[in-house]
Amino acid sequence: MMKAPLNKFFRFLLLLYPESFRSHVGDSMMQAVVDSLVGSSVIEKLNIAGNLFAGAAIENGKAICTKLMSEPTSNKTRQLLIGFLLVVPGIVMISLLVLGINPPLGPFEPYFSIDNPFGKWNALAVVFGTVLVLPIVGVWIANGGGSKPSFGMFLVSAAAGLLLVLPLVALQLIYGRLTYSCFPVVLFAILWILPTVAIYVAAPLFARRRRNEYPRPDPLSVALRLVALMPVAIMWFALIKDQMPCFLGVPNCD
Amino acid sequence: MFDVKEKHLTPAVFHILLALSTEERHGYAIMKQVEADSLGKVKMGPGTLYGSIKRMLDGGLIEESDARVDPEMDDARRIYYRISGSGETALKEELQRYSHLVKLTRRLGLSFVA
Repeated sequence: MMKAPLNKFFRFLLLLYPESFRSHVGDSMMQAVVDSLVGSSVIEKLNIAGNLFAGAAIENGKAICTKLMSEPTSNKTRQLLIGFLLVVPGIVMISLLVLGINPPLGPFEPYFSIDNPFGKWNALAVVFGTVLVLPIVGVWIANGGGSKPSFGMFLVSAAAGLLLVLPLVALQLIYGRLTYSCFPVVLFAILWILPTVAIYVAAPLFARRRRNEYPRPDPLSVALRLVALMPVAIMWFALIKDQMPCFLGVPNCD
Repeated sequence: MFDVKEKHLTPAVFHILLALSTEERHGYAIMKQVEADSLGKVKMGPGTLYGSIKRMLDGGLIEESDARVDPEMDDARRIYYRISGSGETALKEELQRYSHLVKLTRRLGLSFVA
């Protein structure tokens, strides 16, 4: 039989597994651990402990992912937050253009320029889009929009967005210290929010059909998501293209 | 349910199915059988084994049989597992795939195939 302290230690390791896992196979697993420890060497005991620890990490990761990916966004505040974040980048970009402020958006600048003979029509279309279309698209996507809404998916998107921004933060910290008087928090916040929004909006387009939990969006959903995605993607790439020399510490990059 | 047409079996799942293909076994017996079947090359820890068992139960590849005493071990009751119909199909498909690969390597004249 197992000695008491060892028994307690391995029981503790089993407690690291998610409750849903333990309730299913916990007892059987504990018995298998007890069987494995009988007559085992110290190295083998350490191997078993390491295997249990790694298994607990994997199972917890899987349980968290499953929960996050399937948890519907029933909370209205969360839905509004997601909808708001989905439309903010588009609204900011279009507002800057309409107000004539010169944002770092090279490709759009000539198109929306006052010198452009179609400028006022563009401005009208943009105002219409800003006031009506983008908020409707944002709220529609936040409420499901052809796929199951998930606050967890939003958090996963935020994490993925952060991963995309971290290399730029590193560049800024290493090379770009001289080009900004202080760390450009707002710029990096925007650079984080934009891919978060883009990934959240785009995720269902690439999602596999999985037990009907996350069905493929219908054609209307695909079209509307692409509409919401375009300004976000353009703004993000344009911002990076514009700011990259500053991140790399090029003097007078502005 | 587990879709054998879409997925190949992972090595762990394959070995567990193989171990259960001849008789019902409890967790530790599966570990020992896998080690024996693989000539000691695959040593499955309890974390790996039960992670796979949980998913195989969820996927319907195996089923819990009952809790009973193993006559060769102590008097503790252990939960036994058995292969299901889906599990047998999945194992058969995987073995056919391996068989095809062995035939192919023989046809190619690769000398390391016995």
